[in-house]
Amino acid sequence: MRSAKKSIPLHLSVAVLLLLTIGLSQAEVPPSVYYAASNPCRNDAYPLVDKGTLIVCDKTQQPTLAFDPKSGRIESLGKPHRMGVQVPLQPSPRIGGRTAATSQVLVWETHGPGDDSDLWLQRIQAQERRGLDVGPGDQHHPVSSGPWIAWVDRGNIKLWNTQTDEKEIIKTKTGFHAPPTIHGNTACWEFRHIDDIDLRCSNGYHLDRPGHQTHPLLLDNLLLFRENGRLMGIETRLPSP
Amino acid sequence: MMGLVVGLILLFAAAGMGQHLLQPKHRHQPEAFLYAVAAGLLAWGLFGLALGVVAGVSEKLCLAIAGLSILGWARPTVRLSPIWILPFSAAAILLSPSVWDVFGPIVGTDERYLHIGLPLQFLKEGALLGGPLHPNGSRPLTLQLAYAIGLSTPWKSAAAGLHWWLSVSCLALVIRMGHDFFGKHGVGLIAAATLALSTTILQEAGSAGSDLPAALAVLLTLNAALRQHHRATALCAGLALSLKYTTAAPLLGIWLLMPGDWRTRLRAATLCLLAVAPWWLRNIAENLHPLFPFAGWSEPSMAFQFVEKYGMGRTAIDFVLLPWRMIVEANPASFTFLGRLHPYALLLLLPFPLVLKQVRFRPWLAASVAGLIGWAAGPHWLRYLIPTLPILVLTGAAIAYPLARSRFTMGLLGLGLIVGGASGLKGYTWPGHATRKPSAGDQAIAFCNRVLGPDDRVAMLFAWRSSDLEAKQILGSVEDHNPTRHFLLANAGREVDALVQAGATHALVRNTRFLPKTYGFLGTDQFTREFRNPVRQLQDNLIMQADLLFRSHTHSVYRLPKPD
Repeated sequence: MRSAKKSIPLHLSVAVLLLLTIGLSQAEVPPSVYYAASNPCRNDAYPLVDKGTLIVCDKTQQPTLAFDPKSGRIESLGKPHRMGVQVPLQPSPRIGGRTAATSQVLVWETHGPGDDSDLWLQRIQAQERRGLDVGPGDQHHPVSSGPWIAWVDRGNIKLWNTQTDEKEIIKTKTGFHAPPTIHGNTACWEFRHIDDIDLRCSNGYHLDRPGHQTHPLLLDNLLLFRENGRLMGIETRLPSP
Repeated sequence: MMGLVVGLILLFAAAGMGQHLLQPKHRHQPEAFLYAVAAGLLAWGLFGLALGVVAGVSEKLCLAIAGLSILGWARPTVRLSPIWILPFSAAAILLSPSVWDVFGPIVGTDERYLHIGLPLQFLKEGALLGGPLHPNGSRPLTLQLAYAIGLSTPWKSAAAGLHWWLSVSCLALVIRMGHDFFGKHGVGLIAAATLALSTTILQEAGSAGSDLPAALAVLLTLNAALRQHHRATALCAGLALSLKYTTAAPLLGIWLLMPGDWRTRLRAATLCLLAVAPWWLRNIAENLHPLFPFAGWSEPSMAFQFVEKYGMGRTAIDFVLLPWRMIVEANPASFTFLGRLHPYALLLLLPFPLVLKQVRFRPWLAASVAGLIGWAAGPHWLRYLIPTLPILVLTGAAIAYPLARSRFTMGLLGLGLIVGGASGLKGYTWPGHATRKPSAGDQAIAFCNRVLGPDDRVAMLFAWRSSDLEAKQILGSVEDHNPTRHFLLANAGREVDALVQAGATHALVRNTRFLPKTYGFLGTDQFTREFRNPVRQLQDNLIMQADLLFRSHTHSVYRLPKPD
């Protein structure tokens, strides 16, 4: 997926530090730390976390950089990042739909009746293929972290440990925009507040700031999100998955 | 192939009806067939308007109109003269590279949102559409109703096929008029070749558009005016205006210097305006400005077009340099002139002063100059010059041809035509080529076509590709996405509620960023108010009230809330 890493040019480091400074200057909730380490991305799926690495976009809006929020270090991937491996799935994945995988299962969105979406599951080591959640309404936005899979079913978040078969449901109203994010069985999601979008987490953490905070991403103890097109982040304390 | 055959049948069907509208004494003129085509297209438009208001629009009605029109040949009144064999053959050969586009996918922006997109919407909704939710439908729809007939057949490419035959007719008439008015086939052939060896013409010919049919109508008007076929003059001018308002400029030139007294001219002008008036009356009856959407947006008022966006400037020196720049600086891949012409389109202007005092050239010069001035006053895209271009090059060729008296100068003229052709066609690509690259929004359109049903209605916001979307639609685009921006400005703060109220179940949104440098002629406040704010407020409203179903880097699809 990633090509040989190259050392980062000086001007890029300066640009990142500048963006970081801008982000820090906007911090309003001490002792939180906010980052602004990515240019807006041409592909809305980015920035994203892939196998523990945060992929961000360069000034041409392409996802060609790997960013470590702790050290502030940026490395060039050498070429634009590509998501996942395309494998033939039946029923056909929903156009533009998401896929999530653990070591046990592969889950993908399919077209339901009308504009509804459903979720199907394929066990990786077995022949089993079945509908994971195919009821009325939208079952969509699958995401994964370790053995955990989570998705949105008619606004609620469902979590499933694919190793232990443990299941949880978080009653909420999300899934209207970007998918939730999980770190183990801790989930964060977009929430419609009175006049803007804020973030909620299952460990009780709320992120309420002026304007929309969208596209939550958990990376270790860091909750990343987008605000006005910028990638930003805040430290949270999460248990190990 | 069937698209081309059905297109030819439709051309004859239009003539079948139109021939009965001509004055008996003109029915046996060689050009009577083309007059009949023009009169037939005009009649289809007006008949379609009346039928659309009373009974709606459907495939059956469209096919019935075509069938009835063909019956007009049961008692033919015009003759198909053999003198057209050479001009039509030559014109067909010259435009043959564009035949491929007739069968190719619909890729032209205007074709997608207007010429094909709109008739498809009529057929889906079973009605003529118009008003603020379908502003493109409140134009004169003469051509769109003719295309609706083509789209009602099993061969959807019949609409582009009909357009191709109208384009061939235009070039054939150029060749014929070169002979009839200037005594030489060579004059018409040079003019027709100059046109066909221009990227702007060749790219237009194979897709369903309005520029070349408008050029045919203007040329027919000049032909009829010079021959003093008064009713045909008025009908052809009426057709030209109902195809494209910008034909008013060359038509004015023809009208001012056409043979005949003022009474004849006033009669022709009255009949011409009467032929377009039903479209204006329709708008007035719907409480719209008669010229809506070109001049009559309701509050908030909005400019239909910013001509400053086009071309290379609008200072006095820019206008002086315009004829040079429109040839030398033009590039089909650039939005500056968006096209390319054969250099003869400029060179043939040079001998114009030689004939200023010749009476027989006056109507030709008047139409050419008025057309050029009209074009220069409007947006400087080269295709907007097409309605005047045949007269312009025909006039230039008629002046230049006799100057080439020796074999050497004649050879030079021919060599210039060929070498200039290589320049005029530089960068030409078949727009409908099957191996075309994927275009913006392919995936979003595929998504909509997969998930939406007959009860759904999509609000096209900042999106052009009406003809590709199978679902019913509202809004869409023209110019600077005016329908979308006007709707959003008129409903600021309640955008989603207003869309739901207008019947939309979903929204297809192009992820638009208006660039300040494109609108540098506007003040910052106006730019922010009219361009930036509608986009931002729509995004805010959608994220708060709608469900995002699909997103690519160019388009998003939302499910709107159910009406209360």
